[in-house]
Amino acid sequence: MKIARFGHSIDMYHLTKTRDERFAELASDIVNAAYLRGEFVLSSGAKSTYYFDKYLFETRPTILRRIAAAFAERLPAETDRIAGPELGGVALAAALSLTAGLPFVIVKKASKGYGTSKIVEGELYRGERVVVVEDVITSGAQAIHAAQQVERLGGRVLAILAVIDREQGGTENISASGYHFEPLFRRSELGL
Amino acid sequence: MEGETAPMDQKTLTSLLLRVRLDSAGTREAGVDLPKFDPFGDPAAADLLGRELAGRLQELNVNVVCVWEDPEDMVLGHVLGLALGVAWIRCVNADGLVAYIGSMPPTPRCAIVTDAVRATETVTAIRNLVQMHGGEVVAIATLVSTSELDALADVSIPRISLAGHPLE
Repeated sequence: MKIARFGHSIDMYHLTKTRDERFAELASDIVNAAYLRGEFVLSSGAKSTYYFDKYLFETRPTILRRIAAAFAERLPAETDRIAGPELGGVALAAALSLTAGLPFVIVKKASKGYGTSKIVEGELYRGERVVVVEDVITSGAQAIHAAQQVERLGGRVLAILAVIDREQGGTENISASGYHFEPLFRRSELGL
Repeated sequence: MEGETAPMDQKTLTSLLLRVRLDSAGTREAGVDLPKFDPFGDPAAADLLGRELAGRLQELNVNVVCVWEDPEDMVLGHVLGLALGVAWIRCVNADGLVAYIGSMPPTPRCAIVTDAVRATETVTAIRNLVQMHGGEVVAIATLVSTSELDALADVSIPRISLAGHPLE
């Protein structure tokens, strides 16, 4: 519900809940939408008894919108551009782009060797300050790869933001690669 | 094995490997310059190399060949599967989860086949996938080996390679 006052739209949701309450509610909604139990092999190669299915939270506008807002709060002020690694990072980058009013690029896993053969799709200019957004971090390898591709083209990566850190070495690996990392949620904070 | 022949000498092997080597698509992994092998440009050489590799797996009672999703490795998978008389499956990164396409036999004894080990994640993922089906990876079969890249992968799995890298 929204109230129009003095030409501005005030969201009742933001009036009735504190920032912490909204953040906790977002965490709960993500878990309810996307936390699966079972036997999985992750793309990092590791076995796992649980899986966060990013598509189950990214495809819900009510969740995606709030993730984008939470990312926007964490964007360094000097950010010029957002980067989203394919495929899970693309919806996040698009949503954050709309929220923050910043352009974004898509970083592919690998060049296909045909078509434009580009690994970074969209416009990226030398010297631009870029923030990479990722869905779920396990080892961090894909986020690091995306950041490195951006830097190879002359971009400067200010930070890697993620929705969830599974706390399986990603923080350490990203730091060791020289990037600042900030997840919205760590697995241990999700009450699982 | 169908069409069994005597093992090739190293000079013949090197000559065949050079025929399917595609320098321009080379990759640099873990500080090692590694050309990508191209079976499409010389199917006959790729077939001979695959059969040679299959011959070296013969004693291991492999009942499935597993490859990662690269098209070049799928060609090798087909040749080895045909030569060993077993199915081959391709393992893929399905956007976060590892899945496979094909028929996993009961109690798989799997040979991972690739031109060269490039990433520890793919080897570990296939091994874990096979273990989840109650089986084991009995060999990693590669066209070329490099000590640097092989060191990345699980050392407990036996390696079988046709040649070391660089070839010359």
